[in-house]
Amino acid sequence: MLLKLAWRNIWRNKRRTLVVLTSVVVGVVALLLVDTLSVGMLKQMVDNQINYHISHIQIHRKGFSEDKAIEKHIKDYLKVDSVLSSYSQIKIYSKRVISYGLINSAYSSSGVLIVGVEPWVEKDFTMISKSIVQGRYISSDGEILIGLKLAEKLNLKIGDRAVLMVSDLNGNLISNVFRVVGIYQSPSVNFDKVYIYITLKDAQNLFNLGDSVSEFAILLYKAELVNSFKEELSKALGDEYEILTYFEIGPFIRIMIDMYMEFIWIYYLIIGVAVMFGVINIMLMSIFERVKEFGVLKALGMKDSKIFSLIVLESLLIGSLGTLIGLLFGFILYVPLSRSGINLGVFSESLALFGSGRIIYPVLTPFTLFLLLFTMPFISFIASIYPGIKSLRLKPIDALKYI
Amino acid sequence: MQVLISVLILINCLYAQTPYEIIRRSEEKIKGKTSYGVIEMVVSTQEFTRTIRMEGWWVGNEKALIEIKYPKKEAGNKTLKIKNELWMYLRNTESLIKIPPSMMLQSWNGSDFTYDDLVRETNLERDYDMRILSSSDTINAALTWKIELIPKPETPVAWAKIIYWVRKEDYLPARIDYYDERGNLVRYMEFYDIKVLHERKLPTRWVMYNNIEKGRKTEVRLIDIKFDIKINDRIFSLKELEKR
Amino acid sequence: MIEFSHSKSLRKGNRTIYMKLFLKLAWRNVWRNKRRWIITFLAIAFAVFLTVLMRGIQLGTYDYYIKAISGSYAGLIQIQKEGYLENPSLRKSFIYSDKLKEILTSNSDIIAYAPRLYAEVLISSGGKSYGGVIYGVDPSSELKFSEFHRRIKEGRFLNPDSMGEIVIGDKLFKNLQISIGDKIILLGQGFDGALWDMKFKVVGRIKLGYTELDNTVIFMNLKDAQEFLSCENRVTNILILLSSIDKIPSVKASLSQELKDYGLAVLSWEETMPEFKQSIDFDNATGILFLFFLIVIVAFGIFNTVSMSVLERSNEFGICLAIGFKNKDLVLIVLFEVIFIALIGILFGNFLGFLFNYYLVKNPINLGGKYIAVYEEFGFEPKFTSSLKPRIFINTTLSMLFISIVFSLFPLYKLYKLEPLKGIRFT
Repeated sequence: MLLKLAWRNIWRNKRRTLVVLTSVVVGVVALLLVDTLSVGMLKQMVDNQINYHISHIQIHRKGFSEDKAIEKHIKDYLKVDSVLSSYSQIKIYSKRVISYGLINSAYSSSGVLIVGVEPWVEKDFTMISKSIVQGRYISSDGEILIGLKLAEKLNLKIGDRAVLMVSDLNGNLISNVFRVVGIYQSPSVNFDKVYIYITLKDAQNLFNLGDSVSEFAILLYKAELVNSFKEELSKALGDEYEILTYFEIGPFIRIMIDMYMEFIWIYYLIIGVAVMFGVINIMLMSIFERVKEFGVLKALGMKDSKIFSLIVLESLLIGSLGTLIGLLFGFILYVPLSRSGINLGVFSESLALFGSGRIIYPVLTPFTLFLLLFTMPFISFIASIYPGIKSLRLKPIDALKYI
Repeated sequence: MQVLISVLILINCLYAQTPYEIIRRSEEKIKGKTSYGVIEMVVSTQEFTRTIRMEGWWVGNEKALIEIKYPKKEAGNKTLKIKNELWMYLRNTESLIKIPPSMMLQSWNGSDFTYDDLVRETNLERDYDMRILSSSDTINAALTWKIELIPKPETPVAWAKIIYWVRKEDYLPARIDYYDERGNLVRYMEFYDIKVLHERKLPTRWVMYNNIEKGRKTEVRLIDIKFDIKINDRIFSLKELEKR
Repeated sequence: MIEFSHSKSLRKGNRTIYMKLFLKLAWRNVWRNKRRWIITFLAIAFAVFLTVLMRGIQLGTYDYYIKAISGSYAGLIQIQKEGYLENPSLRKSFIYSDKLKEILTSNSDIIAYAPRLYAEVLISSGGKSYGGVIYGVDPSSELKFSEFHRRIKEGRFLNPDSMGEIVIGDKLFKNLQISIGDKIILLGQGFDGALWDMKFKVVGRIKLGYTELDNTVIFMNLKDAQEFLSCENRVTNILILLSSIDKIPSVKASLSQELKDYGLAVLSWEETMPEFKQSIDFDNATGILFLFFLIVIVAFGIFNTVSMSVLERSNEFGICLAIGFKNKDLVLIVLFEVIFIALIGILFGNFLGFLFNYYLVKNPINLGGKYIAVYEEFGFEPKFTSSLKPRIFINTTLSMLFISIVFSLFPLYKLYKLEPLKGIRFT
């Protein structure tokens, strides 16, 4: 009953209500965009790190990550292999040989990080196979995949020869020739300059490793279980191994995520307060217009609490209606954007540094949705308190005076 | 009639030369089972010109020892190659350093030759497919064969093509061009000053021209060179490096 | 009651008298209905205060980060040989002449400059060799400049008279498996192309925070580096610190002019650290966008209030029109009312903003706790400070004023079209 009344009341002055509604809508849309873009950017940074190389967990011999020396390869690779295959949480894992070497073209040479992989596994494992800009992913021995920046530096094109030179397990200088079959481009220029891919077998031959490997990289079904799974693995594998999660490998992102969580509520608060002024304003206007009315209602016996609730309800309705419309508009903007992303090419170099890529896809999380649904109604509730109290102070006699 | 034809064919077969043979003979002219040489190397760039004098001992492609004699600052520094390992002895600090791959492709002493050039086991016959392009080119007033060398798929070199001119009269190399995949000339070497040293006739001045950085070249002058002499194997050891 | 001169002839006369009258009326109108304007005033003050605060924090913190990061690593301005940026090499070094020093010292905006020589070398100890980068620095210049001596984890940094001593990066130190006091060998190719080796004593271990640096950095005295690399009196970079970040464009321009004949390029930190610049641009852009939304939201409130105030006084305006006021006079009066309120709100907001900004400038907030990791990783303390740059206040004032007027245009237009009878009849 009261609800119906509240509803009718707010539409008594259409234009005024519409204006406030618009401000609520603008607030909601603004917050939606800012929040989803920030989350999208963070998520992309994390995902890119995971998907391009790090994956969820990496297993090495202890001390490997310090200098990636080939001597620190995993001797007991069979044991690790069998341990890993027993876990159902693991979606997929990949074996790699990783170490430093030199790549040489007719023009120039460059220090690189050589990654030997099993193409058929690694293809679905990382995003590299989906980031090929020229040629194709490696599929057999003798083939090499390099980054775009490196190809430019060395003046290499598809089909060209490239010689890899390394210091193998016994300290001998070994060189081998490969054919460039593909060029990839990742979101990070620094990554492209350094990571090159050959088959696992080729790498094992090059470094004289036999069947051994340097790294096991793991992707879990559920990323959230990363830390607990790491604990389990440490117990199962023992001390000689270092087991790193993607957070430990890339702390920079962690810091950014923490900063986001700490500061995003400030944005909501600021917009909320700005909208609140607008709501208080019209609520005050509206009750002063209805002084007569309230006087009559009170004289007829309507309880104070009911009048107060009426005011609160009116305010809440505006806030909620605004939120709903705002979300509607927001979605209309958000859905196509989430598909096509926003191209921030202007900032390409710094985004490459962050590793998020130059196209940012906004992401809507349940947390954001909750905040959006909750904030404006809450604000309008708070906004209604002062006008509500004011309306109570009106004594019926004073009210009637206005007639 | 048939006998005449067969004899003609036979004679032709005897005198026809494959590019492999030509190259092999050319290489043999400037190499030996063992060799000892006194060499002066002059590096010219736009910023400076540098002269280094060195003494070297080579045993086939397996072992090599090079000692710098001049300038004084670097005199006493030695480079030793044993099979696939490359070491440097530095006189000033009396230290021995193993050359890691990252240094291998840097230029050796600032020249246009890399360490890799120095120690690479070159066997052109084994590593390249060859064919004669022409028999009538003239390089430095000498008639030459122009031979094209394409590295075989497994050969670990970055060149896509090498053009080798061999002088017809004495099978000495006249010029070698190095090309990249797209047919760009990256560097080329010419041979001059043919003399007889210890009964060997060979070019005593080799100049490597850098075609990317114009004006840059490295000149190698053979002051003295002896082939197939007896070399004490002991000098190719790390211990010996430090002693001498 | 309103006083006015009803003679039409006077109207043609003194415009300023009428202006003064309207202003007075507007002012009094504002105070007539304090209650109606107070919320709007608060909203404007709030928006202005927040904008000033947020822009202050953004700009102030950027300046802090620019000084902190580019100060140590790239300088606010850097002098290099032309072509060095694309292809760094020892060959592109230049002579650190007295003339050059003179040019730098004579510029009053330059408060410090540090010559540096960078070169790639091989560092070796007991059979292990690694690629490293020599940072030939002048310790006394560096003291004013960077905080390297504070990042020492073990041992000490270089002294101005150090000879044959080096300080190497944390990771490199660990990889070589040496201790402080050990002697290691450096092998490098000098400017003359000759390969030269020398022994150096490791006197310190430094942690800069960036892995790529800690893996390769080898600090040594500039004179040592010049001798080792046969680079008599040559350097590869000169890092320059200015009295203020705002001086960068002018100093860069004047230096470029003076150094043109030497084949030297003068670069600002934006060119030597482009990713950093863009990060700042990105944050800046998002900040401005957010504040724009904020001001627009408040502007809706202004719209409502002005509409309301005009509507409520329809009767009054109708009478005014009937007795001779022109519509545009009324529009002007209401416009003045809007401007007055906006200005009061803006003034108050600016004042509050100024106070907060001033406090932050004097007492920057250190983000402690988990952000200490940032210090460890990247070598600077993350903190918030603010700025008192005039343009913050000016831009905010102008934006708020402009938006307030724009959002009042519709009700003003309605007023402009108001017919006297319609107004009077309005209840």
